[in-house]
Amino acid sequence: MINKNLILVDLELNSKEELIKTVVKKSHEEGLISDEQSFYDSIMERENIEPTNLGYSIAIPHGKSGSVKKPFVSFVRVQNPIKWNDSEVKLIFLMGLPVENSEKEHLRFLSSISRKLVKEEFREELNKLESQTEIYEMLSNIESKGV
Amino acid sequence: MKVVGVTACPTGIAHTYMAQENILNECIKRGFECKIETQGSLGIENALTEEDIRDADLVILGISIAIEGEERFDDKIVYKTDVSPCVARPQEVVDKALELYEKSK
Repeated sequence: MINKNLILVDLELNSKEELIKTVVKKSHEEGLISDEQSFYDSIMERENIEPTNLGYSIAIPHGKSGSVKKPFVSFVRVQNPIKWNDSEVKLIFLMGLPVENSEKEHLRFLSSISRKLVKEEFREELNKLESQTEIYEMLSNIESKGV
Repeated sequence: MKVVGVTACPTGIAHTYMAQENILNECIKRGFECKIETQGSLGIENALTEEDIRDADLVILGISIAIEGEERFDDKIVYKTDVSPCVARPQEVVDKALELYEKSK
C-alpha cells in the first residue's frame, strides 16, 4: 500500500490545501483514485470534523471515498513547516481508503503506522532519512513485518 | 491503580490507535495497570471484559464519536474527553483523569 512515487521529500508548499491537492493529483496520476475532486472533498470533510494535525509536527489527513480504487499511504516531508489549523506541520501521511473492501491488512498497517508515530525515534528517522528510496524502504519494512 | 479505557475517532483509521498507544504508555510510565479498547475501522479490538471493567479504578474515554457499550461504565469513575488530547497531550489527560478520581473517591 506504500507507493514509492507517493513519497515526496522536501517539497516546498505553502498551505494545507495546496499540500492535499498536490498529493491528490499525484495519486490520480498513479491510478489510485478515479476522481480528484471527490477524494479531495472526503479529506476536507474529515478535516472539518476535526483537523488531523497531531502536535508532533505531523498531520495525517485521510479520506474514505468511492473514488479510491486501492488503499494507499502517501508520505510528504515539506521543506518549510506549513500552517495546519492551530499548529505547524512538517511530516504528513495522507491516506486513501475505499468505502468498501477496506481490507483488514491495510487497516492494520495504518494502525501500526499510527501507533509508531507517537514514538520519537520513528519521527526522528522520518526527519533524518534523506532520499525517497530510504524512506520507502523503511516504511515497506513496517508494512511487511506488520509491526 | 488500574485504568481501562476506550479510544475512537471519526474515521477510525489513525487517531484511535495513536490515542491508545499514548494513554497506555503514559499509564505504564506511572506504574499503573492499563488496558485500552479501540473502536475503529478494524472493529472492536482489545475488548474490555466485564472483569477488566469491574476491577478498574478509573475509566478514560478518548472518544470523538458515540461508542458501543458506553453504559458498561455507568457505575465507574469516568473521565471523558476527545480523542485529540489523548494523541497530543496524554500526560495532561491522565493528570485530569486522576484529579477526577481523587475528587470522586
